[in-house]
Amino acid sequence: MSKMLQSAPLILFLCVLLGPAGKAVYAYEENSPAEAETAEVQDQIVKISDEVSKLHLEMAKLRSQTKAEKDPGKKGELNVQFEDTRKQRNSLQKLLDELVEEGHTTENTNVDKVLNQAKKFERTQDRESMQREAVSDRKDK
Amino acid sequence: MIAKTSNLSVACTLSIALFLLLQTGVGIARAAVQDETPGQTQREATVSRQEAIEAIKRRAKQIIAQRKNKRLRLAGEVTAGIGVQKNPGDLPSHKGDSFVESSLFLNLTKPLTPTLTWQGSYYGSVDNYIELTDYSYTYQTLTPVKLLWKPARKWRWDGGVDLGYLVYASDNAPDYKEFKPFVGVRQDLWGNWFHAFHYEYSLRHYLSKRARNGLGVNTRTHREDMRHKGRYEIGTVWKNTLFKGRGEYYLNDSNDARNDFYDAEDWKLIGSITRRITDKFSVYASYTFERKNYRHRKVVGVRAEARYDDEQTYALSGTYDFNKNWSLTPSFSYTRLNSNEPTGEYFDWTAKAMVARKF
Repeated sequence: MSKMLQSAPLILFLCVLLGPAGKAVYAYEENSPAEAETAEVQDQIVKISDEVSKLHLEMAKLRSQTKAEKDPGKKGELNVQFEDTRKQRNSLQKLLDELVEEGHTTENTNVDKVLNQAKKFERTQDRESMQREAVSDRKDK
Repeated sequence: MIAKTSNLSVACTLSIALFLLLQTGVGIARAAVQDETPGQTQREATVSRQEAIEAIKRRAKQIIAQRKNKRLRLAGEVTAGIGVQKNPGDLPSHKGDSFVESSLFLNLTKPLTPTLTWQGSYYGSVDNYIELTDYSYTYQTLTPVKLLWKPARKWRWDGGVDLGYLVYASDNAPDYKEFKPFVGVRQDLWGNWFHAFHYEYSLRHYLSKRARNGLGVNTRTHREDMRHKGRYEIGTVWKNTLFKGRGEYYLNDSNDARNDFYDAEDWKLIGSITRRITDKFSVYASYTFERKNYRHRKVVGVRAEARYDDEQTYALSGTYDFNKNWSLTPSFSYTRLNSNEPTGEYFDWTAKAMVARKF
């Protein structure tokens, strides 16, 4: 009876967690898993990197057009375009740096996944080792 | 016993209530965040380049803002399963039994700054043996504070305190509570290589067991064991396989003076391989060798020398993920202890299968 009482909280917890009530509580998790969120960050990083590269090429093109242009009016327009493009590129580059920095604080790589898996196995082993120590202790009377 | 069970029940029930409360709160917060972040980026990308850039920037800013929002994250795992153990008592008689095991792991994470994160966790497990009920036990660890600090890309520091609590169902003599501060550092090396160092101090206070004097008579003081533990590990991940080598050193000192039974130095060497065979299936294999040198405890005999134990453990385990929440983990481990005290020698094996639900 005492054994049953001891297990009761965990059994109750299992019922809540695995039953309909648990599913309702965790429903939101289905829509926003951490991994999908991190994948989106990676996706954004790729997108912004592409745009930064494109803007960089545009800047080079505008620079050469400006040099080749003889008409001072058009030259002025091209200069304005160049400045706009440069500002756009700089702001994207800043966002990219911030995203990359955030990405480094998130465990998402295969390396981290396999390390986390190993940690779980090791936690079980550590507990079994602790139990063996306690059993050994009981024998030493 | 009733008091113990009652305390345990109250603690677990409070944990469950707190957990559900936090889940609901975090769920509402997340739902609110999701409402503000529809997939505008994809739709607007087809409109014009300028608009696409603006959409990307908006989304990137949202992501950065969310990350900086320093929200509380909750994750955890519940497991339940059955197993068979050849020798739960580690006795020469090798009387075996089957057991039912369940465990709960909860982990709360909250970034404090971009490089500093707080974690709090709870791990509790209950092992109930069917016939050898004396060996049934509950083990709980509460980690109220664990700080993870990433000052640079290749460095990760962590430090905190574990509070452990071991309770046997039918015999309160070995029950103890434990205070374990720890600190560790991991450095990523070249490629996927890394190494790490970890130090832990533990003070184990036995709840009813008394320390004995040199004559073996109980004193008025409760038994207390102090332990220093150092660990160094090095590993690499190559083709979805983690290869890891670990060395551990333990220095145990107890206030029990009866032949200094519990004063010993341990050396442990562990080699392990963890491989993700597919996205759903991982395996883990390890070999552990442990040498325990007792400082003064003598073996039985005329020319008594200090006792030493050599323990070897082979472990094999696999995890199959049915989906991102559910998994099955069968495992097998074999342990053999050799000693210069023949009465202490034994072998044991354990086979079990656990079902886990992640959240």
